[in-house]
Amino acid sequence: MLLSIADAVRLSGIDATANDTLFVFSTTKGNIELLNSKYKTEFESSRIQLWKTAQVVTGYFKNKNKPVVISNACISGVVAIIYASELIQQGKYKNAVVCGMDALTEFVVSGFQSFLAISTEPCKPFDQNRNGISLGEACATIVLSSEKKQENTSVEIIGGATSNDANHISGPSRTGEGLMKAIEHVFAQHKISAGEIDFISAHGTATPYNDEMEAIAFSRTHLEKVPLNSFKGYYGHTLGAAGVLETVLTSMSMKNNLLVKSLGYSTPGVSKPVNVITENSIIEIRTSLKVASGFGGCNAAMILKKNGH
Amino acid sequence: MGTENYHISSSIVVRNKVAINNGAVFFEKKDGDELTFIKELYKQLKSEYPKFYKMDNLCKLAFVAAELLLKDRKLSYASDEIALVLSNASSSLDTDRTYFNSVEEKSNYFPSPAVFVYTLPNIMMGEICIRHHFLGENAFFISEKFDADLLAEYSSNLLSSGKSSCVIAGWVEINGNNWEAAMFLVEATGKQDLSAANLEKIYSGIG
Repeated sequence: MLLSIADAVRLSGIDATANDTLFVFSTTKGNIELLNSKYKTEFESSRIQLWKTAQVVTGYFKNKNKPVVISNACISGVVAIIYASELIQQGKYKNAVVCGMDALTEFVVSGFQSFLAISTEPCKPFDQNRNGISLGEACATIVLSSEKKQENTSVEIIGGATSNDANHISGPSRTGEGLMKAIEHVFAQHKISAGEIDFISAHGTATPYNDEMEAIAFSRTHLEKVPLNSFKGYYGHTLGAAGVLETVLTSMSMKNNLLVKSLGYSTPGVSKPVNVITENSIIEIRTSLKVASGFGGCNAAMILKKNGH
Repeated sequence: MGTENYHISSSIVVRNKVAINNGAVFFEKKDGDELTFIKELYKQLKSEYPKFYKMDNLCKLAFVAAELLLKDRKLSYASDEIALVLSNASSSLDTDRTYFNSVEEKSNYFPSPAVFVYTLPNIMMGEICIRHHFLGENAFFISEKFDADLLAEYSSNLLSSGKSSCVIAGWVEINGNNWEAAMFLVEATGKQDLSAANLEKIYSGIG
């Protein structure tokens, strides 16, 4: 986390110590490995707490604001970015450092294995032969700022919405209703139509149910023709980091006008048509939709727009 | 803060084996442990929701807290206008420890998906949403202590942005034998102004 944040802060040129800079963290399991008795003497017991991790990291960067931690399963990263961008839009902070992190641990691997949810080969989002997730680990940091940098292009977080399926705590809705509502809400709140979306960064975990649910939700929101990928074919599912990492990659795709192919996909494998990107291609990407879904029936949708040509 | 336009229409606190509903003691039973108390409280609420018994401790606590908060109210909002904003300090560590014990020893390895799914704090919101068919906004925050400013500000923003018409905000924490829940129904109208000071007073048991 220290390395990722230090890089992001340096590249952005913001003052991480300033009173108008807020640190926001997203993680599901943080330092969960400290449950292992071999760490008992090495760290004080509070170090397993997510708020403590946030305090230690924020303290390292000499930021005095109380850090905010969001732990909302696999939508954590998207929720953290929505939260931070709204505080900036309201003028409460000038900058926000949003850091998402989850490590590959015995705890998480055994849990997904117990669900029989892990693919036997690198995951294949939206493909007919997909058979589960690949777990990854990542720490990703994005710096949001109300100040425009002297770049040719910048990407703006327009806003986001979340929802709950109210259906099942460990399985997505069969009708896609929850994700559909999150997408409909963010479209309505920001007066955006499906036709304006140039690219979708899907959640695409490559479990049979998740990808099917997403395809139904995209179909119900008239997004079936929009090019989409799941970045998880490259590095797996990074849980609480996923939303931040995939927003960084979406932002890079937009700045470079590059549609990145969805690795692992070759044969359509969902019941509703979706436009999965099969080859890298250069195309103007002005507006993107980032979505995520997670255990507990949660869904998130967020709009990014490029400006400043 | 711009929170003065919204109100706390109902509140509950569950702590030290006492359940308080809008400032008045609803149920109290000091003998037995925390889990026994929560099960007794569940019976008092007459919810008749068998899935309650399958939930982990944290979800049981959150579930009865929400039942208590909503027992006299039939919310008339659309399902997707009702938001849940919960928080705690210890995430799902109570169940994380149970789960970890099932995988720590290779000779005694029995990970259960039914336990693993409860190793996320937002599952509480999932259970409450399923129970009441709430489809609205969800956010789960981790704070060292009950953070009235955060809950007041976030709830107010959900209402003022038009994302939600009603927010169930709260704190549901289990740390060893320290079990506590505080939940607030936040709407356009109600008895008390939505403010961090009022949330803090209710949480501390003086409001």
